[in-house]
Amino acid sequence: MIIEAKNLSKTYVTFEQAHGFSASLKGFFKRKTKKVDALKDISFSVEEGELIGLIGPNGAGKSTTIKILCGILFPTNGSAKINVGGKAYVPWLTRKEYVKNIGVVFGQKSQLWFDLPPLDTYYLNKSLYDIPKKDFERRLEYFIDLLGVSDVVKRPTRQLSLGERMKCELIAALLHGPKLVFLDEPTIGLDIIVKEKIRDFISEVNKKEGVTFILTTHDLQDIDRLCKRVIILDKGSIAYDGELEKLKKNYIKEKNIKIIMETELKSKLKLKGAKIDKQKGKEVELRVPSNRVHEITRRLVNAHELLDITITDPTIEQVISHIYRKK
Amino acid sequence: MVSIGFWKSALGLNVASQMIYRLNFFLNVVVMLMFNLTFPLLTLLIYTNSAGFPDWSSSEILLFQGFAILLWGLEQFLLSNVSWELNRIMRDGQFDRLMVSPAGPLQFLVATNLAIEVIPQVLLGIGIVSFAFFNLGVLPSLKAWLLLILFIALGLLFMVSLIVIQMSLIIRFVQVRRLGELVRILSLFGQYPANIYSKGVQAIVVGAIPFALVAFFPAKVLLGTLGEFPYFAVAAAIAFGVIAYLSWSSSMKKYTSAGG
Repeated sequence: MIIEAKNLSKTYVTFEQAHGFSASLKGFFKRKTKKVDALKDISFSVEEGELIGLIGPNGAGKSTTIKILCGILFPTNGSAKINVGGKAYVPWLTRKEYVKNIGVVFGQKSQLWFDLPPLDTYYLNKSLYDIPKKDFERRLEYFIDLLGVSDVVKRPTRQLSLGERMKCELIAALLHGPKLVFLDEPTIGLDIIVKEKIRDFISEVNKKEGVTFILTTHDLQDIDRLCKRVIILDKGSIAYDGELEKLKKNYIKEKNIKIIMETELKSKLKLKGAKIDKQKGKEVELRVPSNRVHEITRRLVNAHELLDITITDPTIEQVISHIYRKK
Repeated sequence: MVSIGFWKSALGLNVASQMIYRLNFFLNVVVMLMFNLTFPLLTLLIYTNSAGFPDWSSSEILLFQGFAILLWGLEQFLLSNVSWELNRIMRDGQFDRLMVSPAGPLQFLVATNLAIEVIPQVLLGIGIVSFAFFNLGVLPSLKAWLLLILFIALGLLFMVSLIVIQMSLIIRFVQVRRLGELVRILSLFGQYPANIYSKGVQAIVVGAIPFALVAFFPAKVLLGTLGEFPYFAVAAAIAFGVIAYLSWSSSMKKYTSAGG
Protein backbone atom coordinates (compact mmCIF):
# COMPACT_ATOMS: atom_id res chain seq x y z
CA MET A 1 0.00 0.00 0.00
CA ILE A 2 1.53 3.31 -1.01
CA ILE A 3 -1.16 5.60 0.51
CA GLU A 4 -3.35 4.94 3.53
CA ALA A 5 -5.60 7.86 4.41
CA LYS A 6 -7.90 7.46 7.40
CA ASN A 7 -10.72 9.79 8.43
CA LEU A 8 -9.13 12.90 6.94
CA SER A 9 -11.01 16.11 7.70
CA LYS A 10 -10.15 19.70 6.97
CA THR A 11 -12.07 22.68 8.26
CA TYR A 12 -11.22 26.20 7.16
CA VAL A 13 -12.30 29.37 8.91
CA THR A 14 -13.22 32.00 6.34
CA PHE A 15 -14.56 35.52 6.62
CA GLU A 16 -17.96 36.46 5.33
CA GLN A 17 -17.68 39.72 3.46
CA ALA A 18 -20.97 41.47 2.76
CA HIS A 19 -21.35 43.51 -0.41
CA GLY A 20 -21.09 47.30 -0.55
CA PHE A 21 -19.09 50.19 0.90
CA SER A 22 -20.66 50.38 4.38
CA ALA A 23 -20.42 46.59 4.81
CA SER A 24 -16.74 46.72 3.86
CA LEU A 25 -16.19 49.49 6.40
CA LYS A 26 -17.98 47.50 9.10
CA GLY A 27 -15.92 44.46 8.14
CA PHE A 28 -12.76 46.38 8.95
CA PHE A 29 -13.75 46.48 12.63
CA LYS A 30 -15.74 43.30 12.98
CA ARG A 31 -15.78 40.27 10.75
CA LYS A 32 -18.18 37.40 10.67
CA THR A 33 -16.33 34.11 10.51
CA LYS A 34 -17.66 30.96 8.97
CA LYS A 35 -16.43 27.39 9.25
CA VAL A 36 -16.18 25.50 5.98
CA ASP A 37 -15.74 21.73 6.01
CA ALA A 38 -13.57 21.15 2.95
CA LEU A 39 -13.08 17.47 3.78
CA LYS A 40 -15.34 15.34 5.93
CA ASP A 41 -13.85 12.19 7.32
CA ILE A 42 -12.58 10.62 4.11
CA SER A 43 -10.69 7.31 4.04
CA PHE A 44 -9.10 5.51 1.13
CA SER A 45 -6.00 3.57 0.20
CA VAL A 46 -3.90 3.34 -2.94
CA GLU A 47 -1.80 0.40 -4.15
CA GLU A 48 1.63 0.91 -5.67
CA GLY A 49 1.50 1.41 -9.45
CA GLU A 50 -2.16 2.50 -9.53
CA LEU A 51 -3.33 5.45 -11.61
CA ILE A 52 -6.26 6.94 -9.76
CA GLY A 53 -8.59 9.69 -10.86
CA LEU A 54 -9.83 12.06 -8.17
CA ILE A 55 -12.82 13.87 -9.59
CA GLY A 56 -15.62 16.08 -8.39
CA PRO A 57 -17.20 19.46 -8.98
CA ASN A 58 -15.56 22.72 -7.91
CA GLY A 59 -15.19 22.91 -4.14
CA ALA A 60 -15.55 19.14 -3.72
CA GLY A 61 -12.24 18.84 -1.85
CA LYS A 62 -9.99 17.40 -4.58
CA SER A 63 -7.21 19.97 -4.23
CA THR A 64 -7.46 19.95 -0.44
CA THR A 65 -6.95 16.16 -0.48
CA ILE A 66 -3.92 16.51 -2.77
CA LYS A 67 -2.50 19.33 -0.63
CA ILE A 68 -2.83 17.27 2.56
CA LEU A 69 -1.22 14.25 0.92
CA CYS A 70 1.64 16.44 -0.34
CA GLY A 71 2.23 17.84 3.16
CA ILE A 72 1.19 21.39 2.18
CA LEU A 73 -1.77 21.47 4.56
CA PHE A 74 -2.27 20.06 8.02
CA PRO A 75 -5.57 18.16 8.29
CA THR A 76 -7.93 19.15 11.10
CA ASN A 77 -8.41 15.47 11.96
CA GLY A 78 -7.37 12.08 10.67
CA SER A 79 -4.17 10.43 9.60
CA ALA A 80 -2.29 9.49 6.46
CA LYS A 81 0.66 7.22 5.90
CA ILE A 82 2.62 7.32 2.66
CA ASN A 83 5.09 4.52 1.96
CA VAL A 84 7.72 5.81 -0.45
CA GLY A 85 11.49 5.45 -0.75
CA GLY A 86 11.46 2.53 1.71
CA LYS A 87 9.99 4.62 4.53
CA ALA A 88 6.57 5.49 5.89
CA TYR A 89 5.83 9.21 6.10
CA VAL A 90 3.11 11.36 7.63
CA PRO A 91 3.29 14.08 4.94
CA TRP A 92 2.63 17.18 7.03
CA LEU A 93 4.92 16.09 9.89
CA THR A 94 7.99 15.11 7.85
CA ARG A 95 7.32 17.31 4.84
CA LYS A 96 10.88 18.27 3.90
CA GLU A 97 12.19 14.71 3.81
CA TYR A 98 8.97 13.29 2.38
CA VAL A 99 8.71 15.63 -0.62
CA LYS A 100 12.05 14.35 -1.97
CA ASN A 101 10.19 11.15 -2.80
CA ILE A 102 7.16 12.56 -4.59
CA GLY A 103 6.45 14.58 -7.71
CA VAL A 104 3.79 17.29 -7.90
CA VAL A 105 2.33 19.17 -10.84
CA PHE A 106 -0.16 21.96 -10.25
CA GLY A 107 -1.89 22.75 -13.52
CA GLN A 108 -2.20 26.42 -12.66
CA LYS A 109 1.10 26.93 -10.83
CA SER A 110 4.47 26.79 -12.49
CA GLN A 111 7.77 25.68 -11.03
CA LEU A 112 9.73 26.78 -14.11
CA TRP A 113 11.82 29.96 -14.02
CA PHE A 114 9.84 32.42 -16.09
CA ASP A 115 12.70 34.21 -17.87
CA LEU A 116 14.91 31.18 -18.42
CA PRO A 117 14.58 27.99 -20.47
CA PRO A 118 13.06 24.96 -18.67
CA LEU A 119 16.44 23.24 -19.03
CA ASP A 120 17.84 25.64 -16.41
CA THR A 121 15.10 24.66 -13.94
CA TYR A 122 15.92 20.99 -14.60
CA TYR A 123 19.56 21.58 -13.67
CA LEU A 124 18.47 23.43 -10.53
CA ASN A 125 16.30 20.42 -9.62
CA LYS A 126 19.27 18.15 -10.26
CA SER A 127 21.17 19.85 -7.44
CA LEU A 128 18.06 20.31 -5.30
CA TYR A 129 17.23 16.59 -5.34
CA ASP A 130 20.86 15.43 -5.55
CA ILE A 131 20.14 13.44 -8.72
CA PRO A 132 23.18 11.46 -9.90
CA LYS A 133 24.44 12.77 -13.27
CA LYS A 134 23.84 9.46 -15.10
CA ASP A 135 20.23 9.12 -13.86
CA PHE A 136 19.52 12.78 -14.61
CA GLU A 137 20.77 12.56 -18.19
CA ARG A 138 19.02 9.25 -18.87
CA ARG A 139 15.66 10.48 -17.55
CA LEU A 140 15.95 13.87 -19.22
CA GLU A 141 16.62 12.29 -22.61
CA TYR A 142 13.81 9.76 -22.13
CA PHE A 143 11.19 12.35 -21.11
CA ILE A 144 12.21 14.89 -23.76
CA ASP A 145 11.97 12.18 -26.39
CA LEU A 146 8.62 10.91 -25.10
CA LEU A 147 7.05 14.38 -25.13
CA GLY A 148 8.88 15.63 -28.25
CA VAL A 149 10.16 18.81 -26.64
CA SER A 150 13.87 18.82 -27.53
CA ASP A 151 13.73 22.39 -28.88
CA VAL A 152 11.07 23.63 -26.46
CA VAL A 153 13.21 23.04 -23.33
CA LYS A 154 15.82 25.45 -24.68
CA ARG A 155 13.42 28.38 -25.16
CA PRO A 156 12.61 30.84 -22.33
CA THR A 157 9.53 29.70 -20.42
CA ARG A 158 7.75 33.00 -20.97
CA GLN A 159 7.77 32.31 -24.73
CA LEU A 160 6.15 28.87 -24.43
CA SER A 161 2.52 28.05 -25.11
CA LEU A 162 0.44 26.63 -22.26
CA GLY A 163 0.70 23.13 -23.73
CA GLU A 164 4.48 23.34 -24.15
CA ARG A 165 4.85 24.67 -20.61
CA MET A 166 2.76 21.85 -19.18
CA LYS A 167 4.91 19.24 -20.92
CA CYS A 168 7.99 20.89 -19.41
CA GLU A 169 6.33 21.00 -15.97
CA LEU A 170 5.76 17.24 -16.15
CA ILE A 171 9.44 16.64 -16.88
CA ALA A 172 10.47 18.88 -13.95
CA ALA A 173 8.22 16.89 -11.60
CA LEU A 174 9.59 13.51 -12.70
CA LEU A 175 13.34 14.05 -13.14
CA HIS A 176 14.22 12.90 -9.61
CA GLY A 177 12.46 9.57 -10.23
CA PRO A 178 9.57 9.79 -7.74
CA LYS A 179 7.48 6.67 -7.27
CA LEU A 180 4.39 8.72 -6.37
CA VAL A 181 3.19 11.68 -8.43
CA PHE A 182 0.28 14.05 -7.77
CA LEU A 183 -1.16 15.77 -10.82
CA ASP A 184 -3.61 18.56 -9.99
CA GLU A 185 -5.54 19.35 -13.18
CA PRO A 186 -2.60 18.86 -15.57
CA THR A 187 -4.74 19.18 -18.71
CA ILE A 188 -6.65 22.32 -17.74
CA GLY A 189 -6.97 24.76 -20.64
CA LEU A 190 -5.09 22.56 -23.12
CA ASP A 191 -6.16 21.70 -26.65
CA ILE A 192 -7.14 18.15 -27.54
CA ILE A 193 -3.83 17.27 -29.27
CA VAL A 194 -1.69 18.35 -26.30
CA LYS A 195 -4.11 16.62 -23.91
CA GLU A 196 -3.66 13.36 -25.84
CA LYS A 197 0.13 13.70 -25.79
CA ILE A 198 0.11 14.29 -22.04
CA ARG A 199 -2.24 11.37 -21.44
CA ASP A 200 0.07 9.11 -23.51
CA PHE A 201 3.01 10.32 -21.47
CA ILE A 202 1.35 9.67 -18.10
CA SER A 203 0.19 6.24 -19.23
CA GLU A 204 3.66 5.30 -20.50
CA VAL A 205 5.45 6.42 -17.31
CA ASN A 206 2.87 4.60 -15.18
CA LYS A 207 3.29 1.35 -17.10
CA LYS A 208 7.02 1.38 -17.80
CA GLU A 209 8.36 2.98 -14.60
CA GLY A 210 5.66 1.71 -12.22
CA VAL A 211 4.98 5.25 -10.99
CA THR A 212 1.78 5.71 -8.97
CA PHE A 213 -0.27 8.68 -10.15
CA ILE A 214 -3.06 10.52 -8.35
CA LEU A 215 -4.80 12.70 -10.88
CA THR A 216 -7.42 15.37 -10.32
CA THR A 217 -9.32 16.63 -13.32
CA HIS A 218 -12.59 18.07 -14.56
CA ASP A 219 -12.18 16.31 -17.87
CA LEU A 220 -13.83 12.89 -17.87
CA GLN A 221 -11.87 12.03 -21.03
CA ASP A 222 -8.68 12.10 -18.92
CA ILE A 223 -10.23 9.60 -16.55
CA ASP A 224 -11.62 7.44 -19.34
CA ARG A 225 -8.27 7.30 -21.08
CA LEU A 226 -6.05 6.77 -18.02
CA CYS A 227 -7.72 5.48 -14.88
CA LYS A 228 -9.02 2.07 -13.90
CA ARG A 229 -10.18 3.41 -10.55
CA VAL A 230 -11.87 6.67 -9.64
CA ILE A 231 -12.67 8.42 -6.42
CA ILE A 232 -15.51 10.92 -6.72
CA LEU A 233 -15.59 13.66 -4.13
CA ASP A 234 -18.64 15.75 -3.47
CA LYS A 235 -18.89 18.46 -0.81
CA GLY A 236 -15.90 17.02 1.05
CA SER A 237 -17.12 13.41 1.17
CA ILE A 238 -16.42 10.39 -1.00
CA ALA A 239 -19.44 9.76 -3.22
CA TYR A 240 -17.86 6.86 -5.09
CA ASP A 241 -14.64 4.88 -4.83
CA GLY A 242 -14.28 2.03 -7.26
CA GLU A 243 -13.61 0.83 -10.76
CA LEU A 244 -14.30 3.15 -13.64
CA GLU A 245 -15.96 0.35 -15.59
CA LYS A 246 -18.49 -0.19 -12.77
CA LEU A 247 -19.13 3.53 -12.59
CA LYS A 248 -19.79 3.64 -16.31
CA LYS A 249 -21.97 0.55 -16.21
CA ASN A 250 -24.06 1.70 -13.28
CA TYR A 251 -24.11 5.47 -13.49
CA ILE A 252 -22.89 6.82 -16.82
CA LYS A 253 -25.63 5.58 -19.07
CA GLU A 254 -26.38 8.77 -20.94
CA LYS A 255 -24.68 11.18 -23.31
CA ASN A 256 -25.36 14.89 -23.70
CA ILE A 257 -26.25 16.19 -27.14
CA LYS A 258 -26.32 19.85 -28.06
CA ILE A 259 -27.77 20.86 -31.41
CA ILE A 260 -28.11 24.12 -33.26
CA MET A 261 -31.01 24.17 -35.72
CA GLU A 262 -30.99 25.87 -39.09
CA THR A 263 -34.28 27.53 -38.15
CA GLU A 264 -35.99 28.00 -34.82
CA LEU A 265 -38.59 25.35 -33.97
CA LYS A 266 -42.12 26.65 -33.46
CA SER A 267 -42.96 24.03 -30.85
CA LYS A 268 -41.07 21.91 -28.35
CA LEU A 269 -38.81 19.31 -29.96
CA LYS A 270 -40.19 15.79 -29.66
CA LEU A 271 -37.77 12.93 -30.06
CA LYS A 272 -38.54 9.41 -28.88
CA GLY A 273 -35.94 8.11 -26.40
CA ALA A 274 -34.44 11.55 -25.65
CA LYS A 275 -34.93 13.84 -22.67
CA ILE A 276 -35.01 17.50 -23.62
CA ASP A 277 -33.15 19.52 -20.97
CA LYS A 278 -33.25 22.97 -22.55
CA GLN A 279 -34.68 24.55 -25.68
CA LYS A 280 -34.02 28.19 -26.42
CA GLY A 281 -34.11 29.75 -29.86
CA LYS A 282 -32.22 27.54 -32.27
CA GLU A 283 -30.35 25.72 -29.51
CA VAL A 284 -31.55 22.48 -27.94
CA GLU A 285 -29.84 20.42 -25.24
CA LEU A 286 -30.89 16.82 -24.71
CA ARG A 287 -29.81 13.59 -23.05
CA VAL A 288 -29.97 10.19 -24.70
CA PRO A 289 -29.08 6.65 -23.53
CA SER A 290 -25.44 5.86 -24.45
CA ASN A 291 -26.42 2.75 -26.41
CA ARG A 292 -28.92 4.67 -28.57
CA VAL A 293 -26.79 7.71 -29.53
CA HIS A 294 -26.29 6.51 -33.08
CA GLU A 295 -29.93 5.70 -33.75
CA ILE A 296 -31.32 8.88 -32.16
CA THR A 297 -28.86 11.24 -33.88
CA ARG A 298 -29.66 9.62 -37.23
CA ARG A 299 -33.39 10.26 -36.68
CA LEU A 300 -32.58 13.81 -35.60
CA VAL A 301 -30.49 14.52 -38.71
CA ASN A 302 -33.14 13.01 -40.99
CA ALA A 303 -35.99 14.99 -39.47
CA HIS A 304 -34.36 18.42 -39.05
CA GLU A 305 -31.96 20.81 -40.74
CA LEU A 306 -29.02 21.12 -38.33
CA LEU A 307 -26.20 23.66 -38.27
CA ASP A 308 -24.15 21.92 -35.60
CA ILE A 309 -24.26 18.89 -33.31
CA THR A 310 -22.03 18.14 -30.30
CA ILE A 311 -22.05 14.87 -28.34
CA THR A 312 -20.36 14.87 -24.92
CA ASP A 313 -20.02 12.69 -21.85
CA PRO A 314 -22.15 13.62 -18.86
CA THR A 315 -20.63 16.25 -16.59
CA ILE A 316 -19.24 15.26 -13.21
CA GLU A 317 -22.26 16.95 -11.59
CA GLN A 318 -24.61 14.73 -13.64
CA VAL A 319 -22.68 11.60 -12.65
CA ILE A 320 -22.83 12.56 -8.98
CA SER A 321 -26.56 13.25 -9.11
CA HIS A 322 -27.00 9.78 -10.72
CA ILE A 323 -25.00 8.20 -7.90
CA TYR A 324 -27.15 9.89 -5.24
CA ARG A 325 -30.37 9.00 -7.04
CA LYS A 326 -29.30 5.33 -7.12
CA LYS A 327 -28.30 5.38 -3.46
CA MET B 1 19.83 19.72 4.24
CA VAL B 2 20.17 20.53 0.57
CA SER B 3 23.62 20.71 -1.00
CA ILE B 4 25.89 23.70 -1.59
CA GLY B 5 25.40 22.79 -5.26
CA PHE B 6 21.77 23.92 -5.00
CA TRP B 7 22.82 27.36 -3.72
CA LYS B 8 25.43 27.60 -6.49
CA SER B 9 22.85 26.65 -9.13
CA ALA B 10 20.29 29.08 -7.68
CA LEU B 11 22.86 31.90 -7.64
CA GLY B 12 23.74 31.06 -11.25
CA LEU B 13 20.08 31.21 -12.29
CA ASN B 14 19.61 34.50 -10.42
CA VAL B 15 22.52 36.01 -12.34
CA ALA B 16 21.30 34.58 -15.66
CA SER B 17 17.78 35.86 -15.10
CA GLN B 18 18.97 39.36 -14.03
CA MET B 19 21.26 39.60 -17.06
CA ILE B 20 18.29 39.26 -19.39
CA TYR B 21 17.15 42.73 -18.30
CA ARG B 22 20.59 44.37 -18.35
CA LEU B 23 19.46 47.99 -18.16
CA ASN B 24 17.28 47.24 -15.15
CA PHE B 25 20.20 45.49 -13.44
CA PHE B 26 22.60 48.35 -14.24
CA LEU B 27 20.17 50.97 -12.90
CA ASN B 28 19.60 48.94 -9.74
CA VAL B 29 23.34 48.79 -9.04
CA VAL B 30 23.83 52.50 -9.71
CA VAL B 31 20.89 53.61 -7.55
CA MET B 32 21.92 51.27 -4.73
CA LEU B 33 25.51 52.57 -4.75
CA MET B 34 24.43 56.22 -4.95
CA PHE B 35 22.03 55.73 -2.05
CA ASN B 36 24.68 54.06 0.12
CA LEU B 37 27.39 56.57 -0.73
CA THR B 38 25.23 59.41 0.59
CA PHE B 39 25.86 58.26 4.19
CA PRO B 40 29.69 58.56 4.14
CA LEU B 41 29.41 61.76 2.08
CA LEU B 42 26.89 63.24 4.51
CA THR B 43 29.22 62.32 7.39
CA LEU B 44 32.09 64.07 5.65
CA LEU B 45 29.88 67.14 5.29
CA ILE B 46 28.86 67.00 8.97
CA TYR B 47 32.47 66.66 10.14
CA THR B 48 33.75 69.49 7.95
CA ASN B 49 30.99 71.89 9.01
CA SER B 50 30.22 70.94 12.64
CA ALA B 51 31.57 69.16 15.69
CA GLY B 52 30.29 65.81 14.27
CA PHE B 53 28.91 63.01 16.45
CA PRO B 54 29.95 63.13 20.15
CA ASP B 55 32.83 60.73 21.03
CA TRP B 56 33.38 59.74 17.37
CA SER B 57 36.16 61.01 15.12
CA SER B 58 35.53 61.13 11.35
CA SER B 59 37.59 57.93 10.76
CA GLU B 60 35.79 56.15 13.58
CA ILE B 61 32.39 57.11 12.22
CA LEU B 62 33.50 55.93 8.78
CA LEU B 63 34.29 52.52 10.32
CA PHE B 64 30.81 52.51 11.90
CA GLN B 65 29.16 53.36 8.59
CA GLY B 66 31.24 50.78 6.74
CA PHE B 67 29.85 48.10 9.06
CA ALA B 68 26.31 49.44 8.58
CA ILE B 69 26.63 49.37 4.78
CA LEU B 70 28.26 45.92 4.86
CA LEU B 71 25.77 44.22 7.20
CA TRP B 72 22.67 45.83 5.71
CA GLY B 73 24.09 44.90 2.33
CA LEU B 74 24.42 41.27 3.39
CA GLU B 75 20.88 41.30 4.78
CA GLN B 76 19.55 42.85 1.58
CA PHE B 77 21.51 40.43 -0.59
CA LEU B 78 19.83 37.55 1.19
CA LEU B 79 16.37 38.89 1.91
CA SER B 80 15.45 42.16 0.22
CA ASN B 81 13.58 40.44 -2.63
CA VAL B 82 12.10 37.71 -0.48
CA SER B 83 9.26 39.49 1.29
CA TRP B 84 8.12 41.15 -1.97
CA GLU B 85 8.15 37.81 -3.72
CA LEU B 86 6.29 36.21 -0.81
CA ASN B 87 3.61 38.91 -0.92
CA ARG B 88 3.24 38.24 -4.65
CA ILE B 89 2.92 34.47 -4.46
CA MET B 90 0.75 34.24 -1.35
CA ARG B 91 -2.46 35.62 -2.83
CA ASP B 92 -2.89 33.14 -5.65
CA GLY B 93 -1.55 30.10 -3.81
CA GLN B 94 1.74 29.89 -5.74
CA PHE B 95 3.39 29.39 -2.35
CA ASP B 96 2.22 25.75 -2.60
CA ARG B 97 5.07 25.09 -5.03
CA LEU B 98 7.59 26.09 -2.39
CA MET B 99 5.96 23.86 0.20
CA VAL B 100 6.75 20.80 -1.93
CA SER B 101 10.40 21.73 -2.36
CA PRO B 102 12.90 19.56 -0.44
CA ALA B 103 14.78 22.76 0.42
CA GLY B 104 11.77 23.97 2.42
CA PRO B 105 9.92 27.17 1.52
CA LEU B 106 12.20 29.57 3.40
CA GLN B 107 15.47 28.25 2.03
CA PHE B 108 14.04 27.91 -1.47
CA LEU B 109 12.65 31.43 -1.39
CA VAL B 110 15.96 32.90 -0.21
CA ALA B 111 18.16 30.90 -2.60
CA THR B 112 16.05 31.71 -5.65
CA ASN B 113 15.64 35.41 -4.86
CA LEU B 114 19.17 36.52 -4.00
CA ALA B 115 19.52 40.24 -4.77
CA ILE B 116 22.74 40.11 -6.77
CA GLU B 117 22.44 43.82 -7.56
CA VAL B 118 23.33 44.43 -3.88
CA ILE B 119 26.75 42.75 -4.18
CA PRO B 120 28.45 46.08 -5.07
CA GLN B 121 27.00 47.50 -1.84
CA VAL B 122 28.57 44.66 0.16
CA LEU B 123 31.89 45.31 -1.60
CA LEU B 124 31.54 49.02 -0.86
CA GLY B 125 30.97 48.18 2.84
CA ILE B 126 34.08 45.96 2.91
CA GLY B 127 36.06 48.74 1.19
CA ILE B 128 34.96 51.42 3.67
CA VAL B 129 35.60 49.19 6.71
CA SER B 130 39.09 48.28 5.41
CA PHE B 131 39.92 51.90 4.56
CA ALA B 132 38.77 53.23 7.95
CA PHE B 133 40.45 50.37 9.85
CA PHE B 134 43.86 50.91 8.26
CA ASN B 135 43.47 54.68 8.54
CA LEU B 136 42.83 54.38 12.27
CA GLY B 137 45.88 52.13 12.77
CA VAL B 138 44.28 50.22 15.67
CA LEU B 139 45.55 46.76 16.70
CA PRO B 140 42.62 44.74 18.12
CA SER B 141 43.32 41.76 20.39
CA LEU B 142 42.28 38.18 19.55
CA LYS B 143 39.38 38.57 21.99
CA ALA B 144 38.24 41.69 20.11
CA TRP B 145 38.28 39.80 16.78
CA LEU B 146 36.25 36.96 18.29
CA LEU B 147 33.76 39.44 19.75
CA LEU B 148 33.55 41.14 16.35
CA ILE B 149 32.61 37.82 14.72
CA LEU B 150 30.05 37.21 17.49
CA PHE B 151 28.44 40.66 17.07
CA ILE B 152 28.33 40.38 13.28
CA ALA B 153 26.74 36.92 13.53
CA LEU B 154 24.20 38.13 16.11
CA GLY B 155 23.51 41.30 14.12
CA LEU B 156 22.75 39.19 11.05
CA LEU B 157 20.66 36.79 13.15
CA PHE B 158 18.64 39.72 14.45
CA MET B 159 18.04 41.24 11.00
CA VAL B 160 17.21 37.90 9.39
CA SER B 161 14.85 37.18 12.31
CA LEU B 162 13.03 40.46 11.71
CA ILE B 163 12.40 39.50 8.09
CA VAL B 164 11.38 35.94 9.01
CA ILE B 165 8.85 37.30 11.54
CA GLN B 166 7.58 39.63 8.81
CA MET B 167 7.28 36.68 6.40
CA SER B 168 5.40 34.63 9.01
CA LEU B 169 2.90 37.48 9.28
CA ILE B 170 2.53 37.56 5.49
CA ILE B 171 1.74 33.83 5.50
CA ARG B 172 -0.79 34.35 8.30
CA PHE B 173 -2.46 37.51 6.95
CA VAL B 174 -1.65 37.06 3.21
CA GLN B 175 -1.13 40.78 2.45
CA VAL B 176 0.95 43.06 4.71
CA ARG B 177 2.94 44.97 2.14
CA ARG B 178 3.89 48.00 4.23
CA LEU B 179 5.29 46.00 7.13
CA GLY B 180 8.67 45.84 5.40
CA GLU B 181 8.79 49.61 5.19
CA LEU B 182 8.00 49.88 8.89
CA VAL B 183 10.97 47.61 9.65
CA ARG B 184 13.17 49.74 7.36
CA ILE B 185 12.11 52.95 9.17
CA LEU B 186 12.88 51.37 12.54
CA SER B 187 16.24 50.22 11.23
CA LEU B 188 17.23 53.87 10.63
CA PHE B 189 17.91 54.01 14.38
CA GLY B 190 20.76 51.56 13.79
CA GLN B 191 22.39 53.73 11.16
CA TYR B 192 23.68 56.22 13.74
CA PRO B 193 25.82 55.50 16.83
CA ALA B 194 23.64 54.45 19.78
CA ASN B 195 25.32 56.94 22.15
CA ILE B 196 23.89 59.97 20.29
CA TYR B 197 20.35 59.06 21.42
CA SER B 198 18.64 59.78 24.74
CA LYS B 199 18.88 57.10 27.46
CA GLY B 200 15.37 55.79 26.65
CA VAL B 201 16.02 55.37 22.93
CA GLN B 202 19.44 53.86 23.71
CA ALA B 203 17.79 51.25 25.94
CA ILE B 204 15.50 50.27 23.05
CA VAL B 205 18.21 50.23 20.37
CA VAL B 206 20.56 48.21 22.56
CA GLY B 207 18.37 46.03 24.74
CA ALA B 208 14.95 45.61 23.12
CA ILE B 209 15.34 45.86 19.35
CA PRO B 210 19.13 45.49 19.16
CA PHE B 211 19.99 47.49 16.02
CA ALA B 212 23.18 48.44 17.88
CA LEU B 213 24.55 44.98 17.07
CA VAL B 214 24.63 45.78 13.38
CA ALA B 215 27.29 48.49 13.35
CA PHE B 216 27.65 50.18 16.76
CA PHE B 217 29.10 47.25 18.74
CA PRO B 218 31.25 45.86 15.88
CA ALA B 219 32.84 49.31 15.44
CA LYS B 220 33.25 49.78 19.21
CA VAL B 221 34.94 46.41 19.69
CA LEU B 222 37.45 47.06 16.90
CA LEU B 223 38.19 50.51 18.32
CA GLY B 224 38.73 49.02 21.79
CA THR B 225 36.00 51.20 23.34
CA LEU B 226 33.34 48.55 23.94
CA GLY B 227 33.27 48.90 27.73
CA GLU B 228 30.81 46.48 29.31
CA PHE B 229 29.77 43.38 27.37
CA PRO B 230 26.28 44.09 25.89
CA TYR B 231 24.43 41.21 27.54
CA PHE B 232 21.01 42.72 26.84
CA ALA B 233 21.68 43.15 23.12
CA VAL B 234 22.99 39.59 22.82
CA ALA B 235 20.00 38.21 24.72
CA ALA B 236 17.59 40.28 22.61
CA ALA B 237 19.15 39.03 19.33
CA ILE B 238 18.86 35.42 20.50
CA ALA B 239 15.27 36.08 21.63
CA PHE B 240 14.47 37.46 18.16
CA GLY B 241 15.97 34.29 16.66
CA VAL B 242 13.76 32.10 18.85
CA ILE B 243 10.63 34.18 18.10
CA ALA B 244 11.39 34.01 14.36
CA TYR B 245 11.79 30.22 14.51
CA LEU B 246 8.57 29.74 16.47
CA SER B 247 6.52 32.15 14.36
CA TRP B 248 7.74 30.52 11.12
CA SER B 249 6.94 27.01 12.41
CA SER B 250 3.52 28.16 13.53
CA SER B 251 2.78 29.87 10.20
CA MET B 252 3.68 26.64 8.36
CA LYS B 253 1.07 24.79 10.43
CA LYS B 254 -1.54 27.49 9.89
CA TYR B 255 -0.93 27.89 6.14
CA THR B 256 -4.25 27.61 4.35
CA SER B 257 -3.18 27.86 0.69
CA ALA B 258 -5.67 29.33 -1.80
CA GLY B 259 -8.66 27.71 -3.43
CA GLY B 260 -8.48 25.47 -6.50
